[in-house]
Parts: sequence; structure tokens; C-alpha cells
Amino acid sequence: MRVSNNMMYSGFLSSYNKSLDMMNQVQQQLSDGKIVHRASDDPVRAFRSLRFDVDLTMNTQYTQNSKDATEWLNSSDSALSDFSSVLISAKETTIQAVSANPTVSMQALGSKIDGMINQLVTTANTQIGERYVFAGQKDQVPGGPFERKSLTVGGVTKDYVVYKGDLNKISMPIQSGPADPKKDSVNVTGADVFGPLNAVTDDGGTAYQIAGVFSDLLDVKNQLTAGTPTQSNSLGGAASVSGLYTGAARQSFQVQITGVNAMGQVSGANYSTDSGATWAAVSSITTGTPSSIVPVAGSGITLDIGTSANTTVGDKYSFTVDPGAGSVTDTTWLSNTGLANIDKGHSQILLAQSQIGARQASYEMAQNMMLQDNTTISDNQSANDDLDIAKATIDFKNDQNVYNAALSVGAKIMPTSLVDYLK
Amino acid sequence: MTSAFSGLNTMVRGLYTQQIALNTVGHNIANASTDGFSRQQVNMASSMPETIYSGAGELQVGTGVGVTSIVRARDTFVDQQFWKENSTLGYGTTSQDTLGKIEGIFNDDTTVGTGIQTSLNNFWDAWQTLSTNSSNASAQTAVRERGADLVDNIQHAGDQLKSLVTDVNATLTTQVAQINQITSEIYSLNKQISNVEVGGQDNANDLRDTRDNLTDQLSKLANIRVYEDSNHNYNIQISDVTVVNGGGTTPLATQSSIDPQYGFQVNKVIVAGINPPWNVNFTGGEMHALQEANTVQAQAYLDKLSTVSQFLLQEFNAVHRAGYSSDNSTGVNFFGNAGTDYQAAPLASNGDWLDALKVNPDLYDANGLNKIAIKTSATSATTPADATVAVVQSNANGGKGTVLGTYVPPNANYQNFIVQSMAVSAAGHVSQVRYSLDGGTTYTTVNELPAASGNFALAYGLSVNLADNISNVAGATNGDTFRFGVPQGNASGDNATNLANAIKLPTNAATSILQGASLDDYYGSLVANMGIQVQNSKNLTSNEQTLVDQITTWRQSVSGVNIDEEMTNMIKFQKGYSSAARVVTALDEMLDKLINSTGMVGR
Repeated sequence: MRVSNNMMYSGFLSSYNKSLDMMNQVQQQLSDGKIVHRASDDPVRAFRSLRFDVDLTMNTQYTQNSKDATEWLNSSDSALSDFSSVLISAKETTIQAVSANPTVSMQALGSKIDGMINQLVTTANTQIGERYVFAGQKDQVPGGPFERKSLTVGGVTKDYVVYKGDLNKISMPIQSGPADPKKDSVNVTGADVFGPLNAVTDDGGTAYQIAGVFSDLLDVKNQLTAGTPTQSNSLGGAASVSGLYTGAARQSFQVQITGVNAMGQVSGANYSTDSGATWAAVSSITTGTPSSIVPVAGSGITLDIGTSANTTVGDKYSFTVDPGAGSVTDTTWLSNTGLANIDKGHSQILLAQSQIGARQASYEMAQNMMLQDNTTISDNQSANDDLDIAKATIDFKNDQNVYNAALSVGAKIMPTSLVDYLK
Repeated sequence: MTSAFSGLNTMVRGLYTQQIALNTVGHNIANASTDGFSRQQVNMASSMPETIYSGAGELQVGTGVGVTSIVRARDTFVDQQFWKENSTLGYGTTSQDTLGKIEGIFNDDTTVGTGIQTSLNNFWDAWQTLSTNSSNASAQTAVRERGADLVDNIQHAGDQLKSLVTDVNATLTTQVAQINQITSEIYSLNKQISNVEVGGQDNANDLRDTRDNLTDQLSKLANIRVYEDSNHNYNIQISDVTVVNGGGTTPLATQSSIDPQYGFQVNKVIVAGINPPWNVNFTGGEMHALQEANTVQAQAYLDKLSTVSQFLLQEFNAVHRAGYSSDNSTGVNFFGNAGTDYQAAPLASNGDWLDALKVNPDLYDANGLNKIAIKTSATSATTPADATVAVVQSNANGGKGTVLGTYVPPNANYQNFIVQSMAVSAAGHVSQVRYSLDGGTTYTTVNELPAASGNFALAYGLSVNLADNISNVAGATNGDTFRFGVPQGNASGDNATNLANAIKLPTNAATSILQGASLDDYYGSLVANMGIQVQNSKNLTSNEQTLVDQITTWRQSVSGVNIDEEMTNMIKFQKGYSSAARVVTALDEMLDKLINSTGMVGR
């Protein structure tokens, strides 16, 4: 075939360009270690790279969620252990009070229980960051979900521990799919631990939720410090005994409500001194808020019963008085109802703790799985995206050789022609 | 007898011919690197012999040489091949160019953090964080800002596609002007060549070279069919329009129209001066690639972006509207205008979806963050048995109360129930109760249903069962109260989780416009398809380049100037010329002898 000079020039140029193109591509790959720079370099690889990235993002987020969840669960767990030990010592204190010869006075035991109540309230207000752990979803309620307050209900002023949180669960999902509080909730609410909650409206009209376990402990404390009368209807009007007994020996009284007026005040009552066998009308009763009942004239003691819509006919109030003193601690009540209530509270706390424990185990397992997945996905991503540096370097060397050879051969052949040899 | 001076004539012819040949060689060498030049060759033939009569009879005496023609070395078959392949190459190059620009628009560099995929990932992250931390204001702000980011990215890509169309329009107009200029030049060359070659004797070599070069340029721009008629005119057709022939040219023009879907201006090519305008649809060349970019490719990608926008405005918003926000409002859009239900009132065209995509401006108001729907608020079959519902009875000796049924709450956080027994039979069976939902202020009386079962229906899907008092007949007195409270039991971040899932999980194949793919998959397949298109275009272009290179080489082989060959010819003609000159000298001496020395004997 006839060869013209232009053929050689254009052939050289196009081969040279191809060689430069190859070198350019390898250089781009070597400079950042990635195979694919544009979707067109390898569309399937580019698509897979996007998928891996999405998977990695999801995995990272879920791992973070599970870490947050574990933190929350650990915090709840340690608080619950604290609760448990406090309740155990409350039980010991109560048993000490009930035992035949208490070495410490009832007052002292009462204030010990008081201190434990305060400790429980403080611990129940634990926070993670600025979120309260036992407040349900109202995790930023000011002051914490539990607060000890003195409220006047129906005319009787008592201490209550109110719960200001709610009963919702906090979900920290670790897999895709809708949130399911049964599977991925991480908290126990104040109600789960210290419930059940009762609604109470004070005389000023404000409604409160009262935590049951605390009420029980407060009842024990009141019984120890001031010998509060026990009542058959725990929701009826609160009662207290005032005055000093003028009788000669310890006497126990029962007062039964026989009439309640429309406003919830006591209008009629009987009393019994022989544990309910016989009943007699009380000597005087002043209906009001609270209503004051003097069972026996001249006995020096007055029973005040607060106003409550729940006070019903048939409610009984019992108390024991010592000569020259006010109402004394009813150790019978303590050893029966008081201890039973503390036990109930304790087992509720243990139940909550076991739920937390089960959750902890499952989150830990999930976290391990996700960490493993993370490694797998990263590996896959790297295998897909990253350049085999060794092979690329060898290719580059090859291309460089070809480039140099093309240049040197071109330089030798192209300039010469017959013109150089004609004289 | 020949004339004495006829030898001179012969030599003069020889000198003349060699001179022309040498000039042609010089012309070839001078044009060695000219585009589209074909080397010219001089055809020599010996001139008509002279008949002289001599003693032996007639003799034919040669009279020298003459140039019969100067022809160019050209293979017209290769030219036709070249024009066909060149237009495919032009198409491939320009198409690769525009697709490369589109690829740049969607270039997702996830390590650096740019691109729509990254903003989708970030958006999902923000919802997940919000779902575990739903009261946190910074988590809510993050969600809103990531949403705005996503909108920005999508609309930016849309804007870039539209500006690509504007660029293509400008290029289209320029190329049409170029086509018109080339055809008018070819037309004037047609006329000149016709004039020169009339009679069929002469060859308009250089003019033809110029005309062929112009045709090469035209072939890159459009798909042409070339035919040379009997008057040596080139008839060139582009897609059924004869743009140039012996009689004249047909100029092309551009006409702009507004795209009905997206509202940008599209230029199309028409034949000027005809009413109604005749659309020129190119099937090859750069013009075809430009037309495709304007009408097919930009449209296709804008359609995909508007599908994504439609998904966000309709389906994503539907999940958001179904949820409740922290101030208990519902039916709030996350994307688009406040108050418009995009599923009930779909927008008219694809472009409208893309334009309507924005974060609801209400979310930027003073309390706007509280309108982000994070809760589903309707409980999902959480029975009270699962929740901690303890019933507190006023009469510990009375029958036990149990709560039954599935609680469907109102929007209240917590609901207290007080149930009071009203009618108790002597056997201790409760047959009528009253219940209060407001702490004992108002009561509603309920009878047992069915009879003698002890079940009483309360509100919100709950009922209570009061067991008969079996131990103490006097125990179940009138007025025993049973108290319990029921929680909502739901996670408040759960609608946030639903929204996050709406982006990630596969959609419903029957009802969703994504037809079963998740949003990630849809976008990923957009990128993959684009990559495949660009790759195909690159492959096409490089294959065509190889082909065109091969044809060019073939052309060069036939028409190209080889310097060494020309040098050799130059030596040949130079020697020829100098030999002829030597003969002239010899003849001159002879004539000199004849004229000056003949008949001078003895003088």
C-alpha cells in the first residue's frame, strides 16, 4: 500500500493520544486509590458503591442507637439496684420497729425511713445528659419526675410524692421497620417502678398523680413517727389523732363512719373499744374540713378525718393511744400491711429490673452483630471501590514504557526524508 | 523534409512540459500538509508525429511531448465511506460530551459528601436521631435543615439540566449557521466547477478539493447523502431536505418553542421560508446528538427528578400528615405548601412537581418545629394487660376488679378511671356500676351486660369485670370503688421512624409511583442507567474513531503527498528539463553553424 507522510503523522498522533489517555486514567486512579471516578467508568460498580454507602450509613446509625439504648439501660439498671437496696434497708428498719424490744426509738426509725424516702426520690430523678431516665417521654420536666410535696387534701395536710412524668415508652429502633414499643423500648417509667399511680386533687384544685410505693413508705413513716390511724378505705379521708390520752392504760379505738354528707365530710360516726364487737355513738362530731370526732368525752383525744369524695359509709379508722401520749405506732399494722406493702414495692422494682436486664442482653447482642456487619460492609465496599495498587502501578509502568517507545521511534522516523540526502 | 527549426519546437515542447510537471511537483510539496488536498499528477503524452517524406517513403517523426491533463489522485468510493462514518463519529463525540455534562450533574461523591444520595442519607439520619430524641429542639432543627438540603440538591440538579438545554440551544443555533455557510460555499463552488469543466475536458482539481473538504465538514455536522450530477454539481441531501444542488441552497433556521412540561426554551431546526414550517429531524452527526440532548435526554432525567419530587410531596407527606406533632396538630405537610393535600389534588405537569418541592414554610415559624409529626398517637393494639394497669379497690375484701378490652385513647396523656359499684345483690353480685373519667366529678351509670356476667362496658374500648364477692357476703357494699389508669403506651418518636422508613424501605409496587423500589434504589438506578448510557456513548465514539482513522489512512494512501516520491519526481523532471535544455544548446550550435558558417567557403 502506498504510504504518505500524513499517514505516518496522523497515525503517530492517534497512537500517542491513546497511550496518553491510558496513562491519564491510571494516574487518576492512583492519585486517590479509587477505581471509579464517574458513573460511566463502571456503572454497575458505581451503583453497588452507592448501595454499600447506604448500608453503611444505616448500620452506623443503628449502632449509635444501640449504644444510646445501652447507656440508657445501664443507667436505669444501676438506679434500680439502688432502689432495691434502699427498700431492703427500709424493710429491715420496719422489722426492727416491729420486733419485741426495739433498741432504737420509733421516732428515730421513722426519720430513718424518711431519709430513705428522700434518697429514693433523688435517685429516681437520675438523668442522662439532660434527660430524666424514669420520666417516660416527659424527659425534660423541670425538677425531675418525682417531687416530694406537702399537699392539703380534704383539709388534711400530708406529704406526698407526686409523679410529673408520663407513661410512654422511649423507642430506640435498631432495625428498619415501624417502631414497636414491645421490642425496642428502653425505659421503665416512674409508674412501672413506683406505681400504681393515683389521682389526687388538692384543696386548691390542682390535680396530682401520686406514686403508690412512695405512699406506702410514707404511710410506714407516718405510722412510726406519729402513729397515724389506719384506715380500711385507703382512698378515704386522711386521718390524724391529736391530743393526749387521759386514760390509765393503753387503749385501741375503732371509729366507723356512719354518715357522709354531699361534700365528703363525715357527719356521723360510731366507735368501738373492743375491736368492733360493740359499737357506740361518738360523743361529739364537728362536721367540717376536716371533721373532728371526739369518741369519748374527756378522753383528751380527737380524731380528725379529712374531706374526701371517696369517704364512704362503713370506712373504719383504728388507732391505739398510750396514757399521757398521743396515738402510738400500730406495730400490728406495720408487721402486716406495712411490710407487705414494702415487699410488694420491692418485687415491683425487681420485676422492672429483670425487664431491663433482658433488654440489655438483647441490645448487647444486637450491637455485636451490627459491629460485625459494619466490618463486613466496609470490606465489601473496599473490595468494590478500592484500587489494587500493585496491579495499577505495574500497568502504569507498562503504559509509560509504551509511551516512551512511541515517542522515541516517532522522533527517529518522522523527521527524515529524501530532502536530507539530496545535495 | 522537416523544417530546420522543428527540432527547436520539439525541445520547446519538452521544456514546457517538464516545467509544468515540475510546477505540479512544487504545488504538491507546498500543499503537503493542507487539509483535504489530493496530490496532482501530470499526464504527458507524446504529441502528434509529423509525417515527412523521404527516400524510403513516409516517415513519422516525433514532435515531442505535451501535457494531456492534470488529474488529482482521488478515490470517490472512499469519500462516500468517509462521509457516512464521519457523521456517526460526530454524533458519538457530541453525545459523549453532553452525556458527560449530565453525568457531572449527578456525580455523587459520597466520600466528600456531595450529591443527592448523600443528602438522602443525611435526611434519614436526621429522622432516626429525632425518633430517639423527639423532644430535642436541635434534632428537630436538623430534620428541617436536612430536608431543605435535599430539596436544594434536587432542584439544583433540575436547574443544571435546564441550563444544559440552554447551552445546547445556543450550540444548535451556531451549528445551523455553520451549515448554512458551508452549503452556500459549496453552491458557489458548484457553479465554478461547472463552468470550468464544461465540455468535459478540464479538471477543476483544486476547486474539487475545496468542495470535498467542505463536504467533509458538513458530514460531521449532519447525516448527508452526496450525489454528483451530470453537470458536475454536488447534490447534497440532509434527511430528505436538499440543502444544495446545481440550482441553489435551502437555508435552515431555528425556531424556539416552550417545553410544555418544564417551561424551558427548546430550539428546533426547520426549513426557512416554508409555511407551515418543515421540521428537520437529523439522524446522524452532531446535530442529531444536540437534538437528542434537548428533547430526549434532558427530558428523561428531569422526569426522574420530578418523580422523586412527586414521591416526596405525595407519599412522604401522607405519612407525615397521618402523624401527630408535639403540639398535637395533625395533617401538616412536611414538603410543599401548607394546607395542600398533594394526593387529593395532584399537580398538572411533571415540571410542577419539581417546582413545588420545598420545605413547608410553616416549619420556619416561631413554633414551627413543634409541627413536625413525630408521633402516631393512635395506639396499635396495646391491651391493658400489657400495660401496667393495677386496679386499686377501696374494699380489699370485695370482689376483684379486672380491666378488659383494648384501649383506644383520646389525645390525653393518661386517663384515670373510677368505677363505683351501685347495686349489689345480697349474694354479693354487682349488677350496676357508675364510672367517672374526671376524678369523681361526674359519673355515668352502666348496667352489666350481658346479664349476670359481671362485665360493665366503660369508655374508649375498655370494660371492667367485677367478680362476685365469694368470701364475705357483706363485703361488696354499695359504693366500693375501683380505680385504675391507662397509659398511651406508645413511643413518641415512632412516626419519625415511619418517616425514616418511608425513604428507605421498598414501596408498594401497585400504588406507589416508584413502583416497588425504595427511594434509594430509584436514585441508584438513575445513576447506573446514566453511567451505562455514557459508557455506551464512549464505546461508540472510540469504535467510530478507529473506523474513521482507518478510512482516513486509506484516503491518505491514495491522495496523500509523499515527500520522498515528490523529490524523486522532481529529480526526474529536473533532469528531463536540463537534458532538453542541453539539446536546445546542441541545436543552437547546429543552427549557428548553419546560419553563420554555411556558404562561407574560403571567406
